[in-house]
Amino acid sequence: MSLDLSRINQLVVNRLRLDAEGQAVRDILGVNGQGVRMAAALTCIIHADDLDKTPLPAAPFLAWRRMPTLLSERVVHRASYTWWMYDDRAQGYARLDELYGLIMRAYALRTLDQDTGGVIGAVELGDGGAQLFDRTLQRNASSINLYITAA
Amino acid sequence: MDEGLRGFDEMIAWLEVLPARLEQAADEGLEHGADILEASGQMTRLYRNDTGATRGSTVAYVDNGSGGDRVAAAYATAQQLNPQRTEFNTIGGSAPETSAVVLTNFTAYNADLVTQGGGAQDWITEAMYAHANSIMLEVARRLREVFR
Repeated sequence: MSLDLSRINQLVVNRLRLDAEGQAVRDILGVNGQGVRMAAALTCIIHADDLDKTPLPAAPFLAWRRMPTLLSERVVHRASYTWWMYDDRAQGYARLDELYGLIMRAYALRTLDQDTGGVIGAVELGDGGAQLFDRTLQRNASSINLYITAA
Repeated sequence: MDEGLRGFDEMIAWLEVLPARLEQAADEGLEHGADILEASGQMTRLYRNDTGATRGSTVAYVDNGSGGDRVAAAYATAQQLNPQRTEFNTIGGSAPETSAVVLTNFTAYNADLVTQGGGAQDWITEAMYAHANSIMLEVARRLREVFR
């Protein structure tokens, strides 16, 4: 069965933005060095195309992007996403490393469309975690990839 | 020698060369894939290229020791077009019994290029995702031919 990309986008983002499984991720977002929340966590999850808009969300924040899909016999068989994680340079990478684990856990806790009997067969995570510095954004960065396969 | 024994000897001889023939078939399929990836990487529109070094030094090769000439030519292109920002970006030493296609260029800023702005200019992932499936199908087709 083909994946509905619009629906999958919504499920992937809402897992961290709204679902209970994403609460631990949201608890970290937008919190400054003194542990004070600088912005609502919801504003700290944006599409990667919005990274060129200013001001950027309070750090740490997340940006998502869907990667090219894999077609098999004209059916969208696999959709891939990258969650980019950003933090202020002074914070180092500790919070990004923590986010990496929390994002993994958020997707592992419950299948994305389990409740609705959907078409997602498997959700795999991996290929990420490198400690990067984004010179354009002047932020520390890391990423985690998410692969969603049709049932 | 009777027919049965000759058939057995031929089968043993075929089995002895089989691993090498499979490896060769897989490498030929991957070489085909490397050509596709290189062309795709050179045609990308994800980034703007001022000097031509990024596009011109984009190269793909099978990591089996056969890509030396392609790598050298691509590196020379980067040195010619942007000598201040040339870097030898390559990997070597795939795990034993593993074949890999390497897609890269020889600019010092390639790592930044593919990661900045949430991967907005990630030309490597674009090429890999676009062609991975067809490359694997080509490798599979060539492996099947070994048994014909």
